[in-house]
Amino acid sequence: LLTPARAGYMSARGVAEVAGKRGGFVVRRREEWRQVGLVAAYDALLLLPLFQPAWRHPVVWLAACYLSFVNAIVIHNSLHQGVFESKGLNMWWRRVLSFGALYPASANIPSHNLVHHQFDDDGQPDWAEPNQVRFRWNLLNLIHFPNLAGPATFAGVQRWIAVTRHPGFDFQYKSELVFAFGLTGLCMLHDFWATLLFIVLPQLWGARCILRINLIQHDRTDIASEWNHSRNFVGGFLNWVICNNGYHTIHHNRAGLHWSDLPEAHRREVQPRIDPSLDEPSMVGYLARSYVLRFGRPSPRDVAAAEQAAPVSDLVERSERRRQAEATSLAESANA
Amino acid sequence: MSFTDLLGLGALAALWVNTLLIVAHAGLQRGDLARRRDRLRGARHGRVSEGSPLAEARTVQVARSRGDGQVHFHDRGYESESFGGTLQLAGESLQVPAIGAGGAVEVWVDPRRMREAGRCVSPEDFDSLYAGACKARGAERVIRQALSAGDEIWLVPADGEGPLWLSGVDPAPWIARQRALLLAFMLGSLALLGLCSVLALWPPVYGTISTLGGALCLAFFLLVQPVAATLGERVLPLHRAVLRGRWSRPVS
Repeated sequence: LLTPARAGYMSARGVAEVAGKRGGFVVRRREEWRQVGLVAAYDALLLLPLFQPAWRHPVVWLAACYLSFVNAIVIHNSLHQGVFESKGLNMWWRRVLSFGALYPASANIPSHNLVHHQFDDDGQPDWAEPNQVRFRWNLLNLIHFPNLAGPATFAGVQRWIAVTRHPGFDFQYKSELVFAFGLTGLCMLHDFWATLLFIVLPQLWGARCILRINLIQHDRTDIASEWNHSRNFVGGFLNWVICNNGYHTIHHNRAGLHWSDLPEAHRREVQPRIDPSLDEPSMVGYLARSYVLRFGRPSPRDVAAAEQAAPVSDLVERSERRRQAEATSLAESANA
Repeated sequence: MSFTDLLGLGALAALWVNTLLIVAHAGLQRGDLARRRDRLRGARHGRVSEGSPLAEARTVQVARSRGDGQVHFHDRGYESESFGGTLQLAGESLQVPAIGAGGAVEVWVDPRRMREAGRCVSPEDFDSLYAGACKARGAERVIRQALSAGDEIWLVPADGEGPLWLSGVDPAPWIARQRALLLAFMLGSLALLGLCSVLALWPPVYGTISTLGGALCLAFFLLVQPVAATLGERVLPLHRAVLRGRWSRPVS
């Protein structure tokens, strides 16, 4: 049965139900414990080297960098759907996640949910648009991309804050900013160099890698198409460790779907409509092929042809999807 | 050398690579401007003799407000259009063809004129836009600036490098200024990072001066990116100059 929630968007009643949920300190779905556990492990790996010099070890540092990327993925998932039943706890969760990434998690609402999902900032390009980078050596594009997408994103968020009627967003955003930079600053007061090298470097690694994912998932796709705008990474192990964020096409089109439902929806809806080149079995293989083993950027190709012969879908228009995303974000944050 | 030492050197190396990429990107923007400057070899200078207007630059904006008495403008698109007319260029007349919006023409006008045209001049102006701006979809407006009879004009014919280019400002000094600005940014960034690096490596490493250098390196990393992005917007060609803007209700 294709309920509104399974279809990836919330009905007005669904939005009202989310807005009305109060109380409890349990997660909404048991799969969320994986995200909670990964973030707890990450925060522990950030803080332990600060107080216990024996933990200042390459393995710990590498694990922290990897988990920082996961933390950024959890930000992404949590800003689409809150993890906890309690809205107050969800707001505190955002602050904890913000510390892990050194940027306010709530920035994802305008930058990702409202702009990136539609690839459009009201007539202007997405803030993470792949063509911002244009070095001939493609590896440089991958390295440089956050330098352009990052400032574009935060400038865009500031402009959005100035006009949004989203209740409490400004306060929540600032509280995340204060929490993230305040806690990092306190750590610096305790031990500047340990904080810089064992906390700030992993924080920045995750924050910049999640920006790079925009390039990896959308470069040389057709963002004007409905089913061939994204590159998917469908390997099982990768998707376990990144909470199914490899299934990007279905996530764009049905943003309300819970991350644990994405593989099945991908098989059902995306596979019949996508160019096979956008269904990559391995992200490592793709990165090696596209950025290491070749010098130049791959040429664009007509990937959207694949969806023209496919069966018609019940997908609603992008403008309506944006409206639904805004309503969902509002419901998640209202009366926190 | 401890792991912490290696990590510190690695972080400094990564900061240099990152800064070099930002500088190289600014270099690409200088290159774009140099190609425009090279097109000016075929430029003709004169006045518009017929055509009211001859051409127009438009910025399409959407106005939004959260009801706090302020309206913020977002640039939705940039358009250039030639309506056709005659130019008087050093004693000879030249016909300019009509080319519709979205066609192969770029119209440059002074950005100060565009900003002036978008200014709120009266409470009535404000009120006419405010109600629409408070709605979810916002209120659209178009800021126009025309090149008309009597206006000074620089014309660059269409060639393999770009479309017909009609400019109401002298493009050569404008391009030279933007290129100089980019060069100053490139050299300044490298010099500043060099200074921060020297301080960070000042003996004894991890001492007071070295720690100050480390903090400056972090601040540099966080600030150089938005500065480069702001500069990148500023040096965009004038037919798609970023306008944006904000209105507060003027006092009657």
